[in-house]
Amino acid sequence: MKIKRFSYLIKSIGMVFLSLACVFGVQAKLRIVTSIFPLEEFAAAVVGERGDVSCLLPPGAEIHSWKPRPSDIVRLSGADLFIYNGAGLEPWMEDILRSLNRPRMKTLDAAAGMREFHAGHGHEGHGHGDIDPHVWLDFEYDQILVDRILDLVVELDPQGADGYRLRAAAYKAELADLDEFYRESLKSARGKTFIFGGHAAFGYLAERYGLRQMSLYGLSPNARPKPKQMAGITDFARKNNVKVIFFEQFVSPELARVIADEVGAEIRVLYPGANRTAAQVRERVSFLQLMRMNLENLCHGLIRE
Amino acid sequence: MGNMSFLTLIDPFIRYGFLQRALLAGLFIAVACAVLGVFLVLRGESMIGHGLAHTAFAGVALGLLLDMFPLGIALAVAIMAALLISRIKEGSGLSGDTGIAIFSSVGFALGIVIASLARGFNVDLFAYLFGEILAISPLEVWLSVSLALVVLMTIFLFYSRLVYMTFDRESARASGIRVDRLDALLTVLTAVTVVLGMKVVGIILVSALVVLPAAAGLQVASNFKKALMFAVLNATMSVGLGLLLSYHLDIPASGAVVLLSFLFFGILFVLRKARIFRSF
Amino acid sequence: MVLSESEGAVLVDVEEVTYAYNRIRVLDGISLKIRTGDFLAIIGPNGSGKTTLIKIMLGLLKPQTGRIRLFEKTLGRFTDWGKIGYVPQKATHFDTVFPISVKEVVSLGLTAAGRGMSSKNKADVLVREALARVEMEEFLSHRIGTLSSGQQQRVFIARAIVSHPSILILDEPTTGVDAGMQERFFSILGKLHREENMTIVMITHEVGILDKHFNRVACLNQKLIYHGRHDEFCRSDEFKKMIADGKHVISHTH
Ligand SMILES: [Zn+2]
Repeated sequence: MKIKRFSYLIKSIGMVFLSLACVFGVQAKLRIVTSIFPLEEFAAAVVGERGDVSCLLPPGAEIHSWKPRPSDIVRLSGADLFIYNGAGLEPWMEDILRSLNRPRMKTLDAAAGMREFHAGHGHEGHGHGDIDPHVWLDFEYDQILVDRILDLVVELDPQGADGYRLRAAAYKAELADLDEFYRESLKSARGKTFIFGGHAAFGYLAERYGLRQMSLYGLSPNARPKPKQMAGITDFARKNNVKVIFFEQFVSPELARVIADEVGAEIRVLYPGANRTAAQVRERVSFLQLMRMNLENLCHGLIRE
Repeated sequence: MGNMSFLTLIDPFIRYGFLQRALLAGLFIAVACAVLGVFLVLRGESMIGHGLAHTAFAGVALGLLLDMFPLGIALAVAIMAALLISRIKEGSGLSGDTGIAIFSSVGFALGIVIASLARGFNVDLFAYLFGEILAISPLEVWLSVSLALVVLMTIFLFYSRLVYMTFDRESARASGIRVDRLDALLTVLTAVTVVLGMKVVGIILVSALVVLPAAAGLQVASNFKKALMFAVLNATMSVGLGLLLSYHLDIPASGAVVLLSFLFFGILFVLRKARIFRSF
Repeated sequence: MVLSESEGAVLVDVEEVTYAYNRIRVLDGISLKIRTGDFLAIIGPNGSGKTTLIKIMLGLLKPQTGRIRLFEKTLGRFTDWGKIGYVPQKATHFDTVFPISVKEVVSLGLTAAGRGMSSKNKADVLVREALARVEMEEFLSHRIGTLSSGQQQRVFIARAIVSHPSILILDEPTTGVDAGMQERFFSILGKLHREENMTIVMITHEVGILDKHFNRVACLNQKLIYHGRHDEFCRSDEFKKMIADGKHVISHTH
């Protein structure tokens, strides 16, 4: 309730500045706010210098347990386009959008369309229930997302359409390269299973390249794993003489380390990619780079059953 | 269920190091909690464990923020809070648990603010709020066991002075016992124990591990040693069986431990009320 | 063996003690010497500062002025607490469910005296012996909360004398104890006084029992009104004045 009232105040202040900007004829840049880092990178890749793209999720935060603070709502109140992931990844989002009450702000739900995309690829459709929200970890779907961002951006700023199209095509080519690189590297891999001491973020990625993800947590890292599950995974690791247990960036490596110690394995990181650390932000590590690092680590730890 | 022998029940505790560590640390912490609990409950300070655990939460958050050993920082913060609480009790005229209530809420608030500084309510924090017996590292086991031993040895060393002070504070003072120092000592020991217990049952439930076994012991014991014995028995059985149940029924260990402890308490309470045995 | 006024060694020396509680003066320039062999009754109306004086003597309260010497040492330097046995007022007002046995209660009395108490057996012998001295041996393993208040009182005396103190201080120990029990109680104290040469100080409000048991009386009403032999006290002007004023030494209503 408090957040709502506060956001009204901020919104009105924002409006005042906005109208001032119009009066003085400042050419406002396209302002795009995204909830998570991959969407920020996609949007930035499309708009280039003609837009300001920022991500709500601060460096180092874990998206499933993060909630926006008042300053984030201020930022959102000035956006022309808000790109969010959807599929329940941002449970706070609906309330905040309603309280912002800006019907003219464009929004994009990234996960909307995943079900159709998935079904269209001959996978068993998840006909009911929640869908896996980690849609950015399907690199073909990411190309569709870039197209959808492009459409919206062109609609908002038709003058820049040519540039947007060129840049979008270039980035999509990089995504296609990444997809191809994964496919090639993993085709020859002898093992197909990996043990992930994080949450089940890599479902789409695993399905796409014929891998099996064995994760400790479910679709969100907030529900604690059960002892039996730990025991089961430990047994599996022991039986298959596993050498690498993966842990998740932004989730404590403790449990991965416990299993690794139990079976004499090493631990390596996997990046779900929804966010970066402050250091990675400083070093301008890109989403594509994170995914390439994932591939390299994965290749060290695939298990042949 | 017919062929589920005792061996299959305890088998996982033989096979998995993480369960062994949970059991070992849990049992030692349970003994320390139970012994301290008897003194605290009789002193009318049942809530101090709760208060110190919440204060320790600030330490955990700080540890996670600085990326340093959170348990160690929580320990330091809780001990400082313990000393402050006993100081406040002396001088402020605040009655009973008012000081504790203030500390616990301020500590928790501080924890929340620090956690948000750490950019986002970190998932790891939940492990401390609700306990994470699966992730007790060998270092933490070593720390828990040795600190629990230190707590127990200190109590053993000061045993009769602590009992005297708890039973009859004025006479204890009149026989030259420095009760103010012992107050502080007891509070510090509680802080240490509660921080250790956090990892097993979590911040929210750790005070139950201090209070319930002690309350159970007080139901039936005819003397102090027996009260301690019953409390220790209740606590160790709750932790042992609780971990077992947690594994086989796939329920959270912290909840299982506390509910079992309550069950044992309830049984003794009913037995006492029914005067099945007057006192042991 | 009757000791006259200045013969015995001074065990407790109260010098010019003044104490105020919330600015209300409770004790005003009290000087009092308690000597070996005294069986001293401290009497006075409610609020006359009797308990306060005892607490100051034991270091439980800090007087605003004046000083206390115990066994010829200043209070701050005194460490030999085993020489003093103390039964506080309302000792029997503990939580009756407190899980502690008679034996455990009595052995608490060795905490101060016997920090270096070497053998558990020796402590055991002392505890049994102390209980025998108050005629309570058969209750050794009872939980104290199950006893009558007269019995509890005797257990607390056992706790106070277990370390064989030179002086025993009791604060209104007979409150709420019936007459028969009281008689037994005084015979126990009398025995301690006679046979163990124990100095006994007792706050009491039962003026009727004065001549039977005590050899000295201190009458307190903020100031020390009288201190001397009890037989002289009964003949003294102070006593007569008190009676005449209707301001009985007994002002308790039970
Ligand atoms: Zn996720």
